[in-house]
Amino acid sequence: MDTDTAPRPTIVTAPALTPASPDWWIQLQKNAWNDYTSLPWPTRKNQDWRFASLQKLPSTPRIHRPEPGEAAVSLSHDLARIPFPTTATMHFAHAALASGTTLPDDLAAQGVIFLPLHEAVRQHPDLVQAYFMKHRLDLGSSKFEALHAACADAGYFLSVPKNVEVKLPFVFTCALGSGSPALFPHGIIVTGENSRVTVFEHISSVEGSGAFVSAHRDVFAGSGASVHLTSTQTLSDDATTFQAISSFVDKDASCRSLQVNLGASFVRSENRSRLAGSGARSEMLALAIADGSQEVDQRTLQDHIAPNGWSDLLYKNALNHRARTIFQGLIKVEKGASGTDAYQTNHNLILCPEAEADSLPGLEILNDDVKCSHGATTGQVDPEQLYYLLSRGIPPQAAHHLLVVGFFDDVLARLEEPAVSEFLIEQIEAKFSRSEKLSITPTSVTSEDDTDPTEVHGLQGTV
Amino acid sequence: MSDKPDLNLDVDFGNFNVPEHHAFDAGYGITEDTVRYICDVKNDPEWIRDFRLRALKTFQEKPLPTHWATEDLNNIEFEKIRYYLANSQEPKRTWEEVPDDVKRTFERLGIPEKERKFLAGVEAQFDSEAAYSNVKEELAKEGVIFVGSTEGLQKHPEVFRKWFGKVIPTGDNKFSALNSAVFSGGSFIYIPPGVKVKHPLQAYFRINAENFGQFERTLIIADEGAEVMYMEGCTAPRFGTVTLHSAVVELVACKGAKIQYITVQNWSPNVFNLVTKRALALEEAEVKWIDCNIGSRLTMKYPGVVLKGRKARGEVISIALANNGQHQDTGAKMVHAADETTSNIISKSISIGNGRASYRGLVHIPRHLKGCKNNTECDALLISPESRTDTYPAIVVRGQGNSVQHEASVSKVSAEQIFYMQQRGLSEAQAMSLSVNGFVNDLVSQFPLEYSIELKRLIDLEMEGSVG
Repeated sequence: MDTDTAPRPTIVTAPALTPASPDWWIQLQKNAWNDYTSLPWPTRKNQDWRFASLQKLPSTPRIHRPEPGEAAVSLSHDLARIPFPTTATMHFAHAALASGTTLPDDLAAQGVIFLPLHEAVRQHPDLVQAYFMKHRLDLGSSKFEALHAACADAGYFLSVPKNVEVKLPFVFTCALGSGSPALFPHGIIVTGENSRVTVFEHISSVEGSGAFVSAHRDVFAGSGASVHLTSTQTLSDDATTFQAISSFVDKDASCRSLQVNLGASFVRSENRSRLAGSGARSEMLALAIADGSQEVDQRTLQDHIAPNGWSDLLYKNALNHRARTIFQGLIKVEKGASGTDAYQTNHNLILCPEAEADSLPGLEILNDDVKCSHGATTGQVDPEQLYYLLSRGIPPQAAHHLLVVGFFDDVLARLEEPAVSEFLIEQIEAKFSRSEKLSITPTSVTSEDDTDPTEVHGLQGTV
Repeated sequence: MSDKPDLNLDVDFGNFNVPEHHAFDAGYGITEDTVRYICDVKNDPEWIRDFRLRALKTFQEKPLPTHWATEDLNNIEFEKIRYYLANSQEPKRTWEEVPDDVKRTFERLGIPEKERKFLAGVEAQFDSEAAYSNVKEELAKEGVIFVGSTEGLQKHPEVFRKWFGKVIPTGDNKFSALNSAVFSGGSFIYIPPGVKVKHPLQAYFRINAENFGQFERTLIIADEGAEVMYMEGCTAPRFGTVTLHSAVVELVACKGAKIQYITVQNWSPNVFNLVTKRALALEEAEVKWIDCNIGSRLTMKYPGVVLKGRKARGEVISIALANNGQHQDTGAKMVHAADETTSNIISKSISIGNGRASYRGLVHIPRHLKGCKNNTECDALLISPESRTDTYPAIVVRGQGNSVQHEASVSKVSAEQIFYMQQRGLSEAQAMSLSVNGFVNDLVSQFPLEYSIELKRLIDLEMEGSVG
């Protein structure tokens, strides 16, 4: 928990992005700020926050925006060394664009737009207005969505017109330095009919940053289009982050999102996919490694509005030390969504007896012509597999790592870009080496009953 | 579809009413006076009096749990409910003493007299008090106590008081508090150590007075190594206005004991059925809830087992059928509180017309526990385009060597199956009925014979008119 009691600069009115922002944008952010201040703080009575350790949320997120120091800029340069070929890149240090590569001329000629958000606000006000947070998530974080809208700063606007297929990924990275900075990265991805695009995002901070990051993506997959989005965060272990994806999938379009959560002490991840056109396809993937006293709280909604949609969700969490993950998902099939085919799977791998995995996979089906299923498992490393590796002379730590990477393999295998999978595996390995340095002394196994009052509360909720 | 299946069904089944005459009546609404009146009539000891009054306070203070449950709960008009009615205070001992109109009710419900010989003891509840109570002598000789809850608390306070309200505390939820304040009727059963009751114990419950809530309270204790099977069946005559049924059932399985609690319910579609059922399983004990919910406007029932002793085992087998205007919100709770405890939940639900079936579950494995296992399977079948089904499980796992798996699926009746059966000369309705019975068959076969027959009949009845 954040016990930092040092005075935090709290700005009482939402700051505008840059002095040069147009009036409509300033007004939009002001209105959102009013929403933020008037909406109630979440409580555990709210089912969307059931099980969450709300005390881990900073009671008033400090909206502190220091200039990116040297550390942030140098981290930004590190992040810029993405080891796979890209189409175009943007690397932010805090809310400032530090480096990047521009769009190839042929794509620009075809009408592809890839601009920093603050530029898009000025150059394409109609487009930004049409898509910026058009579809709210409504998964419990309305207050924080409003905060995000009020403060959205670093970000990108990507638009790919009809029939344009871009093979290599667009890359967006954010680097944060120390001094408890707040950042509100916002990505907008709009695709025209039968177009194709891949986006890769990476948000990271220096150690001991104390950062507050609220990241949000609006994804619009036009008829027959295909969107692949991978977003990774490796924030420092004292950071707090909200990670949201709202995707709108039109007729015969397909959207695949992968969230990789490796950092931050408190992660609230929300992902809602609206299957709004007939035959829409949505794949929602996530993997998290939580250690120390990290908490990863995941909320998902597969929203089947139109007929013949297909959605497949796979969330995998590996937990070490006293970490905690919460998965609360829902498949909702509306009355008109006949022929829906929907799956929801959550697997948790507990590496330490002190860790806790909560799983609440839900279904709400209002149509009889459906195929829906969900599954959730929570278990340990298979002792036989471990024994096999140990008998081959692999040290226990390395054997565990291998098994965890193996556990994530079916998520990573779904990425069609092997270079990206490899990069992610590297990030996972890095997480392991950080994890080893954590000198967590397991709390002594006391004989007292495991009745922390919050859990009793949780129990009574379902009587 | 004019061809009705020739199943000799009594369509008026459950559609009857007998004139009411009650010797005691606590009037409408609930206040401290209502509770005192009940205490006076029942001649409650002082500690129960205090218990009831404290419970009333809890009930009045607790909000309705609409932050997670259906808003329909707001439609319960607590002030329009009669909380206590009884036509006599002493449970009847012999069949001859049972009033004729009560007997008629039983007959309409299809409890043949010869069946009673087969059953070990019939504890039939008519309105609040047990109208008929008979335990076979051999059971009494073995020291088995099978009486109404009132008699239990008055004549066997030493056992009763030790466990009463211990598995389900008054403040567990609003409706357990309500029950604690106004409970009457229900069974008290004590099985001494090592006694294995061969025949199932059985009780029938039904509601007969309009606007009358029934608040039975059942406490079953199986001492070390004892075994017992308890069956409960509910049907209610149909009424125009809302009635409330809110029972509390507590089971205690001591070391190595086995308890099976079987319920088949068929409430009329205006009943709110809000029941709290929970068992405590000590070392190596086994508790199995077999639960079948048909009818009612809203049923909220989540039988649970607190696995308190090493190697204890809990199981919930449940079937829910939600027809037009009905909401079956059922599920199970497994609270693991000792090493090597195992639990199993199998739930199947069927939604017909605009019926809604919800599964709500909780599996809780705290830290420091080793080798706990849970398996949960929920399957839902949707019959009509307006049908709805929900699944809301909650799984909390910590500790070492624990494993939990949860699986749920939703499907509709396979068109191919129906086509095949129609080709063989069955009507669409018959084919549907057969298909639905097939869906629940593996669970139904776990019920005792007479119940599985009754259940198949009920499913056929409910399926009538849902196709075509």
